[in-house]
Parts: sequence; structure tokens; C-alpha cells
Amino acid sequence: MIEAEAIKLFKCLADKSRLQILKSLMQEDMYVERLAERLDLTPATISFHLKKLEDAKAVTSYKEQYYTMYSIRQEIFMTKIIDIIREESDEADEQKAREEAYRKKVLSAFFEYGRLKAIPAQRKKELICLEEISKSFEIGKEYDEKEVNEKIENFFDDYCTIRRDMISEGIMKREDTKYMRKR
Amino acid sequence: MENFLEYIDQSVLSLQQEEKELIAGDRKDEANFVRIRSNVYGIAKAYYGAVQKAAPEEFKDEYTRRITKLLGTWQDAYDKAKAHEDVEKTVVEEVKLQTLKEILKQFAEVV
Repeated sequence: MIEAEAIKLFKCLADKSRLQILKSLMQEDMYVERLAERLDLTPATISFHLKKLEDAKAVTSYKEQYYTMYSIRQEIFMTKIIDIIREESDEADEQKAREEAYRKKVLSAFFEYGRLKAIPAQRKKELICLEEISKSFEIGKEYDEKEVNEKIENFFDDYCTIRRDMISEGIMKREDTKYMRKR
Repeated sequence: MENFLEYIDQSVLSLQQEEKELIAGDRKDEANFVRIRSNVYGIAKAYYGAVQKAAPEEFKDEYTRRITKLLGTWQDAYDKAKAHEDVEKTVVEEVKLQTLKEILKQFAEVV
């Protein structure tokens, strides 16, 4: 189910009368007048709600003798909400572009001639800077502490703080005296 | 005549309460229909004031004539919506027609 369809369905379901109609149709297919009597609503109101439910693909209709019968489309309700949320947003590309633009802005503000000017106070910004510094390390390769310090010192004099923060943010890990970039 | 105005005001108050209850009960669309009914009472009251000024001598006949003309316009809108199978508009026009007919009936009884 695409995002737009999901929004339409959720909006449609956010109504007590329409939920009551669906519950009735779960028991059996019904026509307008029967639903009207059952739910104490006018046939016109029932028709109004059924049109909204049909547009959201929650119900379908068919002819049976003189009546138009309505039935619930069970398959639409078998979709898990988590699967709808997991689906990549229609705005994913725009979101990625916004994130990349923000990243560039932070790096431009805090780096000069390839060196870090200061450790950002905001964690979100510091993380961007740490990730940038970590690119000088190969993922999965072991480094001893001296190597790590030298590489970090190319960017910032206080290599201890940078090293410590890279570990606490999960960018690097330390086992005994060896360091490794994780991501 | 004052009874008729009182009837309109009471009806509007009652409908406003009904609208609140429907919204509280997560029945927003039905609340909108009640709001439409309330608006029709508002129109009927506005016509009342206009006819009182324009034709106080023939008030009853003139008011009935104007409301009946409005009913005709709304009936045309209802017929058109129904012909185009526009379910939502059909329901809205039906609510307006029914409400105005009720008002006209009450007017005939009271005035």
C-alpha cells in the first residue's frame, strides 16, 4: 500500500459511523437500507459513508437482484501497519537531499583547510564531524593507539577527546590495545 | 410571528449542541450535516428580516414565495447531483431541502 492510499484509508477509518458499517459488513454483506436500519442512520448518510469507504478501497459493491450489496475488502486490512511505515517514503529522496545539505553546512562551519576548528557543542553536529574524521580509517582494519592518535591529530590537537567520543558514538571500537572502525 | 423566530433560535441552539456531541463522538461528517442544517435555519432567519423590511404588509405570502423559490433552486441542485451520481453532493442537497421544508411547514402552522 503506498503512502497516499494509507493516508486515505486511515482518514476514512477515523469515523465512528464508518467503523460501525465495517463491523456490520464483517458479519455479512449488506445493502444500504439494512445498514441504515441497523445503525439508526438515514440511507443517505449510509450512502455517503459507503462512498468514502469505497474510495478508500475498504469496501466493494455488487448487484444482487434489486439490491446493491456492499462487502468489506478483507485483504486491505491484512496489511500490517508496520509494513506501511517500513515502506520508503515518497519524500525519501528529498529527505536525503536535506540531510546531505545539512551535513555539508556543518562540515563547512567546523572544518577549515581540512582541520577541525572546534568540537561542536551539539551532539548531532559533533557526530557529523567525527564521521568525517573516521573516513581516514579503513572499516574493519586494526590500528594501534599510536596510529589512531596520529591520524586524529591531522585533524585536531585534542586527539584523546576525539578518540574517546568516536568510541562512545560507536564509530570505532577498542579491544585491548587495538582500535577498529566499525562504520 | 415571534413564535417563529423563537422556533428558529431554539432549533439552531439544539443543532449546535448536536454538532458538538457528534464531533465528540468521532462523527465529523455527520456533524457537518448538522452544521448545514443550522446554516439553513440561519438563511431562513435572514429571509425573515429581509421580507419584514421589504413587504411588511404581505409578510406571510412574500416569505412563503421566497422560501418556495429557494426550495426550487435547491431541488434543481439535488436533481443534478443525483443525475451525475455525485453521492456527497446529493446528500448535502437532500439535507438542505429537508430542513427548509420543515421550516416552511412550521412557518405555515405558526404564522
